[in-house]
Amino acid sequence: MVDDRINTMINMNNIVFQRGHQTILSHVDLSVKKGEFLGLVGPNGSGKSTLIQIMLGLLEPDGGTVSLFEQPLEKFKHWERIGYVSQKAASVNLGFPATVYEVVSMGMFSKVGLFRFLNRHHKKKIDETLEQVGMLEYKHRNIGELSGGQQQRVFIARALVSEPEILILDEPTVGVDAATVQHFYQLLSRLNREQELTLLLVTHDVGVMTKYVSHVACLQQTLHFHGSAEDFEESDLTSMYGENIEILSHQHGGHS
Amino acid sequence: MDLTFLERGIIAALCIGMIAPLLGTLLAVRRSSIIADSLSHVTLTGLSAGVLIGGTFEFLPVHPLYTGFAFSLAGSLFIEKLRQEYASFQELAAPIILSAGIGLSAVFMSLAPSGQNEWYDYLFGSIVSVGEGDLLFILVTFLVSVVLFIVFFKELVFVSFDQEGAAVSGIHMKTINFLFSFLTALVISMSMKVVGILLVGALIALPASAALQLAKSFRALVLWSIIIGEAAVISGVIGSYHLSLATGGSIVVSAALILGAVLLWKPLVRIFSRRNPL
Repeated sequence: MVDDRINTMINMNNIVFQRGHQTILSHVDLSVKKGEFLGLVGPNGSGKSTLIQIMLGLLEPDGGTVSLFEQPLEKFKHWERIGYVSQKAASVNLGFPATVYEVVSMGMFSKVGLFRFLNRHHKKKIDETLEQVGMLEYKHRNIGELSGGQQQRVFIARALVSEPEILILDEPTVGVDAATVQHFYQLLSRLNREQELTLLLVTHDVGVMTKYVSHVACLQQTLHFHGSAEDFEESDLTSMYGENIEILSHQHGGHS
Repeated sequence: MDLTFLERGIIAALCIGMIAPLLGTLLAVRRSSIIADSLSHVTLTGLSAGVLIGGTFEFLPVHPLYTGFAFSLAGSLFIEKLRQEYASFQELAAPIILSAGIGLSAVFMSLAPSGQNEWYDYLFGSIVSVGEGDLLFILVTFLVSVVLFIVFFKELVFVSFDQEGAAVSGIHMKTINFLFSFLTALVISMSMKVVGILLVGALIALPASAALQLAKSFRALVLWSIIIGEAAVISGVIGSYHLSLATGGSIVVSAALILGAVLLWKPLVRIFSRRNPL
């Protein structure tokens, strides 16, 4: 059922999306290949989140096609192969009385299926995943009592627990302090190198991100740049953000 | 089965004491407890329609509980529709359905050849009026909802916690949202005879509200809700029996008293125990 030879994990072709008379996305082609760590950047309101929602079938595009693991989105069934961490852990109700363990176990449901319950193997996997993101000691804590950065790590554990092949993160570091962001990127980078996890990271924060990613795509209604992180130039950004932006600590790996 | 009216009533009450708070926990975390109140009024429309049809065409085997359930289900689907139609005013859906339901009920009631007492029983509940047919309806709907809760519990919880995350994990949202409507309609129609239309919302919302104060995990939330629900039902039935009070009202007053006690208890615990992180 699961085909290991698949090389293109996500392929979006000629995506158009309009809200009222406003064009949000105009003829966007984007593909994510196996093993990549792709950073999708763009200013606020550039259509990044919209593109991700279309990619995941949460929004219907006005034009274009999406395929996941080389299957048309409409026919795609293997959702356990995709892990998703949404823009705001705030899309969830954090007053919800759930423990860290319970939240992470939800990520296991797509693997478990109907009529079945979590067995010892699943529970061990949940512990391992919590360990991986450094949250095991918080296992029985209420999710609402944790800090923003800790909650974000729990949501990453939830996305990782079904052992996805690609992890999609939409602005995961909003509202998280700088030191935590650094740790967070290191964690992602490690997952990408050691576990060959393909990553798609959406962010408006260009600075730090370019140190860690292998590829960059710049979105502002349409794609302005899509290539390896080495080829990515500041000029690609100014064309998109406008001339007056300040790029903070924009460095490629190696040079400092 | 040869059961006295009291035994039938108690069995029915115990079933409802478990299932209404269970539904209540999910509705509370979905922030849609108000739906239960609107739907209970639509159920009244269905009931009055059932009484009207049954009374006018006596050859038709219409049982008001079944028409109540049918209206309640249709109403819940209609609410979903309205919520999409008024996307930026989602909270309008509930009052629209509620007021239209009450209006229609009043019209049906005035046409139906039925006495005040029967309506009173449906509005405020009366466990002594639980007949054999009613008990059968309650038992069947109880079993159906318990099975649905067990089979889909994981999905119901995930969708309540995080719609988007659930959708991306491959859960079929339309199915689960329909299931929510279906379960709500089911629970309301089975509770009608015992606590009545005006009080069913309380039995759904109060135990869950008290449990939210006590629970740190979702599992604990569900357990506390059911314990509090059953405690309210049992103490309400006993109290009403000894003091000759209306049973539905006694059950809901018990639930409210438990909620009040929990709300008072929490600050007391906080004062007497030095802040304990778990």
